[in-house]
Amino acid sequence: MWIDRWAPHAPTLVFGLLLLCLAGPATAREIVDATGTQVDVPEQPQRVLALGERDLGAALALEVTPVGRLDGRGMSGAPRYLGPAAEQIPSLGQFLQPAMGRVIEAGPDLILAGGFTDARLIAQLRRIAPTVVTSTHDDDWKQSLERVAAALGRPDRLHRFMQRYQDRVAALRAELGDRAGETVSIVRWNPRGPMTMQRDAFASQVLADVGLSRPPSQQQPGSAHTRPLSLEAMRRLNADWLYVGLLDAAPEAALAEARRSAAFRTLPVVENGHAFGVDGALWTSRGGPLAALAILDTLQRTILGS
Amino acid sequence: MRHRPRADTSIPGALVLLAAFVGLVFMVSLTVGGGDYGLRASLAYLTGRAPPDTAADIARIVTTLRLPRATAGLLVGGALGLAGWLLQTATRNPLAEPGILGINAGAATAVVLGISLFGLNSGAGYLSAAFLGAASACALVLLLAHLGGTVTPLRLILAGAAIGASLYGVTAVMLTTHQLAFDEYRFWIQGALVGASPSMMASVLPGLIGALAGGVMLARPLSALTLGDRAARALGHRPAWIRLAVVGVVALASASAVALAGPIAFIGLLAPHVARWLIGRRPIAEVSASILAGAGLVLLADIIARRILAPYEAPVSAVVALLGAPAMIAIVRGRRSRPCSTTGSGF
Repeated sequence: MWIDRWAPHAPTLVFGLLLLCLAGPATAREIVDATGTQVDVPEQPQRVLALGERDLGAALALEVTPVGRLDGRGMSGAPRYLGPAAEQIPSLGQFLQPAMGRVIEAGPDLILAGGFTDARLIAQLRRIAPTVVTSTHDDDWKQSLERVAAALGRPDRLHRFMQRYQDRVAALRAELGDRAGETVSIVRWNPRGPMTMQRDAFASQVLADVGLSRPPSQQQPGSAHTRPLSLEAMRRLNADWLYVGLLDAAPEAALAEARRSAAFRTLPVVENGHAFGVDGALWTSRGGPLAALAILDTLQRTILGS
Repeated sequence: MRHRPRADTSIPGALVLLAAFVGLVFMVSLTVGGGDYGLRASLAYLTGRAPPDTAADIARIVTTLRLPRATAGLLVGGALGLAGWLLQTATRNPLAEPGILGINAGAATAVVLGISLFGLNSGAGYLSAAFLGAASACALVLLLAHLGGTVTPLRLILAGAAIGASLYGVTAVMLTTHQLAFDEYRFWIQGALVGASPSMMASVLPGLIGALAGGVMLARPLSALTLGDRAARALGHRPAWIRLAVVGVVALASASAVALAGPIAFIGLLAPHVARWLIGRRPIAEVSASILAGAGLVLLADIIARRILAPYEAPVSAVVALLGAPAMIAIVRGRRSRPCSTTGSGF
């Protein structure tokens, strides 16, 4: 029961709320978050908690360093691709499970809770500090980034980042030339049944920006991953290019693991040397702005480098 | 079918038919899969008439995917059928089985703890951990059911449910706090035959053979025990030792099944009922029938699991539960009209 988990923190909570009341709202802006809730956020938030999966990367991309984060999906730390800057930010709990005591102790003036769906949890967060749900399950990463920028009051940084992204996309698209239009298979490896990312998944959207697409066998609607595929139907993993990741393993380990399967090894795309191990947190999760840039890097290195 | 005199040495016709049925299902499971090669292509390959361009592909699928999977189904189903029969006979409880009594959960939890805390990664390691877990859960459930005097069938089932639920809680915690092989492991904990590798089966096989031999040897003494301890003693059996041996064999059989395919419920429940329905009152033939019925049921469920969401996999345990839950209700309702069997327990 949440009440049991909370009880030990009750004094801190009361004290924290008191402090908040005393401090009173500094100059505030009013925004509407992804759940349609109006939230009064500080003009220039100083102590930001990035609890949602995309919020940490988004805040860093907008040049705001949060004072607290959660662990990544299926990980015991921040996503590797965000580097040491993210790892140094103290963790306040596991993926989607903030420890309320630590949230209160962090003394936030703004909480970003993108992707949170537990209404009770969101209500608890709102009692600690203004809480903005920056994304719902159906949002793409650009919408999420815009909401984070609105919450942080950083439209200029948003503009700068998107400019940088669009420039990279345009350059890569030009370099790809007639290779744009080739198909890319995205696999979340599992030796008992690999999964592919669905048509509208994060990585698919980045691919679409540069003109690459998913093969006909990987056009399932949705933004998550498919069920485990029968090992007999492995041919559905074939495409012009293939990226295979594991959430909790290094890129090389993911490819090595997949190559242990004879059916995977004999896929034409693998035999052609067009299969690459990637960071599952980048390719097979919900992504974010820095993940999008990292995917462009990988495409550049693999498709143009080979 | 010809009517035979009931001499205990003859092999009942029903048992032969059941064995033939399991053989048939085994063959069918070599011809059905979630990919592009269905019955016709597979039969063409098996009879040597496959077109040369696909022959290599089908050969690889039949020998490296379907054959190990069907073999695993045979082993897992047989082990669960054995464990179920021993438990039902020993406790005189028609609902007793390794799934419902929390024994599979014990084995699964021990494997999970072994993987996440001690880095287990061999078949023998899985089996040892699973055996320890299954034996502890089995002992704990029987102990719990005995607390407070008479063991009623209901008390036994409730003790099993409680142990099972607590242990699944432990595995759930391990699942969220340890990220080891997260996806693969989630698959296994649901119960699935895919991924039971030949090397894994080889390391589980000795234990399984031991369990089968032990089970068949225990069949007759166990039946004597259903007459009561005094009658069994008069026949030259030692009740305490028989019960201990039953716990050991049940734990070994359940542990082998869990190590190979994760926890699969209901097979241990259904197989003995099928066996009693087909054979009845002939211990060795009955336990053999239960082993065969378990194997046939798992193979059948796995064929459905391959096809129902093709080209995606469905967990075989979900299919089994779909078939098993109504059967369990039927068993409970059927028993209510026969009150004699709801008294007392052999344990």
